[in-house]
Amino acid sequence: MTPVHASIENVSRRGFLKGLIATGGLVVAAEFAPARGALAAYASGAAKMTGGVVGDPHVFISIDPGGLVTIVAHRAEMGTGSRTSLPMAVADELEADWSRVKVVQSPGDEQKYGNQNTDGSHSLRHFIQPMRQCGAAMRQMLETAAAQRWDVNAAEVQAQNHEVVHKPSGRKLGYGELAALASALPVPPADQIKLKDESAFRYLGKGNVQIVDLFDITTGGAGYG
Amino acid sequence: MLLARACENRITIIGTKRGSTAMVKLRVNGQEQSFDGDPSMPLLWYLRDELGLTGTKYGCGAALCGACTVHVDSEAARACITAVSDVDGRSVTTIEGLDRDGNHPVQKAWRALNVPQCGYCQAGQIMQAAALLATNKNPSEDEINSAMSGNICRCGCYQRITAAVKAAATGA
Repeated sequence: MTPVHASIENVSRRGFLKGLIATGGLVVAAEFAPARGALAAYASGAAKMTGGVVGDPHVFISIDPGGLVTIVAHRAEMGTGSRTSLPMAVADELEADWSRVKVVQSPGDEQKYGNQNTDGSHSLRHFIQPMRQCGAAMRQMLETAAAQRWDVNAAEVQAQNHEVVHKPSGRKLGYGELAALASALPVPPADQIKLKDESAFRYLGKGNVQIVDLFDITTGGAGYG
Repeated sequence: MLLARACENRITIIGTKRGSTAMVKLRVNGQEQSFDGDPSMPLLWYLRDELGLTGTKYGCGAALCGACTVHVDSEAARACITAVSDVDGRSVTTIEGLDRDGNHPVQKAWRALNVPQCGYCQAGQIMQAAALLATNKNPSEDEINSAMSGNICRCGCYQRITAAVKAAATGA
């Protein structure tokens, strides 16, 4: 199956609406919900742009020993909320507790962060999937680290709301305790990254997260430029 | 035309005293300040570059957009066309000084209703709304839209702005 999103990239709004009318919406709607296998094969439109896509979770995620998760927003905020929603996609796949997440803005460096040409509503279309993959990769590294620490089978552990749980015994290790070991592990290859099922999302699509700059914007402290 | 009329109604444009070289004394967010530089310098640059109060934003430089709105003696004024000498002896409030904890009813309503998107115009919007509510405790929707019509938002937050001003007025 050709990655369906790749074709959506090239559909203009007018063309999309025409298609919707022609098909009664059903076929197009189906294309927006491809099988999970297709999601993993998603080809980001940014792949052909300067800097492309960077999939290394170390570039976007760091976890300090106290458990604070810092996520890099590498696209400029233009009012669409992407500075919040891309890190939120990382956090959701990471099973991070959003109240223990700090978002920092990257400098302009496309070699390091991938494409940063913020226009055309590309940020979410091009990067939600790579960001989900980064979060999921780091989640699996945290799970592997916990399994190693406990010397148990990786299938017995599960990342859950900022900690990893050993299901048979109920033992738990916080992300902060696992951070150093996890970040030293190899990053799982793309075909071994397991994205969450959408029904397990904590934040994506839930409407329960406010933009990260809300307080600063209303008090004059938000940074621009 | 509508915008021009709205601006005329809502903005305090204070008579200039250009050419004066005397020390300008003013109060900014409750603190006494004095300035011995060029008195014709726009208040906006004084606030941002001299005092480091960068919450007040430069938008158009011509009082057409409202991003630089501050209070001069509790009235909304566009800092980009107000000279420092114009505020000699007067009291200026910026977004940083509206409430010490950032909890002015307008600020709280803005957060409760998720008004901002990019946020660049919002300090001006909030200051304009706060000035309105200081003199009109329960404005009608028409009065809100009229008072806010000189504050432009590229993201198009207008409906939430109107709703938030209402919420701030009623405490909802």
